[in-house]
Amino acid sequence: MTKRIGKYKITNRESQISAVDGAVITGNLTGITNLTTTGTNTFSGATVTTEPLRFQKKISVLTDRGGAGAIRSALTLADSGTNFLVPELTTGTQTIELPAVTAANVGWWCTFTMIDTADQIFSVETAETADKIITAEPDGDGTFTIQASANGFDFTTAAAKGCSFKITMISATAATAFHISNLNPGLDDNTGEVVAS
Amino acid sequence: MGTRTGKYKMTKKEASLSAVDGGTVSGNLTGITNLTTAGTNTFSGATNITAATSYVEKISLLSDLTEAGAIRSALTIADTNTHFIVPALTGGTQLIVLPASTAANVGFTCKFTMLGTAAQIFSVDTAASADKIMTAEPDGDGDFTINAAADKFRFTANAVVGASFRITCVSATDAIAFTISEIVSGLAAGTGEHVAA
Repeated sequence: MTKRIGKYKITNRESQISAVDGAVITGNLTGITNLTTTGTNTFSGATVTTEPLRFQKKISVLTDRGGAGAIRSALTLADSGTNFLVPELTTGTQTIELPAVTAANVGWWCTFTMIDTADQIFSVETAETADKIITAEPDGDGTFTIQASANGFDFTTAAAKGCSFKITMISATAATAFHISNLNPGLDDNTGEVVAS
Repeated sequence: MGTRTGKYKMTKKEASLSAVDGGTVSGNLTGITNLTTAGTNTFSGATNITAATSYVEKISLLSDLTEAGAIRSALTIADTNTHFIVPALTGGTQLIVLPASTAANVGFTCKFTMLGTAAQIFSVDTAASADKIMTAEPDGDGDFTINAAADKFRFTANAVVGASFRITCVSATDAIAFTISEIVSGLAAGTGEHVAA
C-alpha cells in the first residue's frame, strides 16, 4: 500500500528522505524551539539543562514476598533514581541486590522508604562481597555507628513508616563503592531503624 | 560526490530538505513517540517531564592539588547537580569557588563526599565576600552550631570517608544565597568534620 504523509502519497525515496513519519537521524539536530514527545526518551549521552528541570521521581512499590529471599530481581542502571517503597514484611529477611560496581554504573542511586512497620529485616545488599557500602547509623543522640565497609544496609524489624535512606554508587573502586545519605527517621528517638550488615 | 540517504543519492535540495542526515530545525518538533539520542543533549529552555524519570548522578572525582590553592576552576552553572568526590589531601588548604549568586544561578546545587581522610581543610568558598552561606554544623549531641552568614563551608582535616554535604544556591540575594543540607558524618562522634568559616 502506498504511504502517505498528510494528504500526499509519497514514494519510497521521499519516505526515506522525510523524518516526519519517524526516522533514524544520522547527525545532530539543532535549532529546535519546542520539543514534545509522548513515548520513552532515552538519552545515553550527557544531558545538560540550563533552565529549571521539572520531573517526577520514579516510585516503585515493592511487594511482600511472604518468605525469606530476594524481593525482586537485582537492581540495574535502569532502576537509577527510583524511590522504592517497602511494605510491611510478613516472613523472613527479604533482600534486594545492588548493581555491579562498574565505571558505567557510577552515579547510580536509589531511595528506600518504609510505608509501614517492617516487622522483618529488609536488606539492601552488594552484588559481590568485595563491594562495600560506607554507612553511618544514627544513634539517636547526635552520634553515629560507623561501618565504612559494609556489605548490606538494612531496615530493621523496628523500622517504621517514613524511615528512608538514599544509596549512591560514588566510585568504581569496590572498597568505596556505595554511600548512604539522606537518612530520615520514622521513630521519634531516631535510632534502631537502620543497620549496616 | 553526492550524499546518500539509504540507497538513494540525494540532490543538494533533497539533502537540504531532509532532517535524517541531521539539520537545523526552525520551529517545533511535536508528535514524537520514542526519542533516542547518543550524543550530548542541551535543553536551554524550561524542561518539563511528566513521566517518571531515571537518571544517574554526575560524579566527579577531584584530584589532590598537593598544595594550598584552588583544587579546580570555579564552579559554574554547568557543574550543577555534580556530586564531587574529595580524596585525601596533602600540602595545605584546598578550595573550590562557588558560582556567583545571580538569578541565573539560583537552583545551582552540588554535593561533596569524602573518599578518604581529608588530612587538610577542603573549603567551599563563595565567589564574593557579600555572598553568604546559611550553615548548621552538627555538634554530636543533637544540637547544631549555626552560622547563617558564612563565606565558606568546609571539611575539616578530621573529615573521613563518607562525610558529605550538599550546597544549593537558593536565592540571588547575597545575604541568603546558599544553604547547606544533607550533612552526613563519617565519624561516630557525629561532629568535627564540617565547619563554617
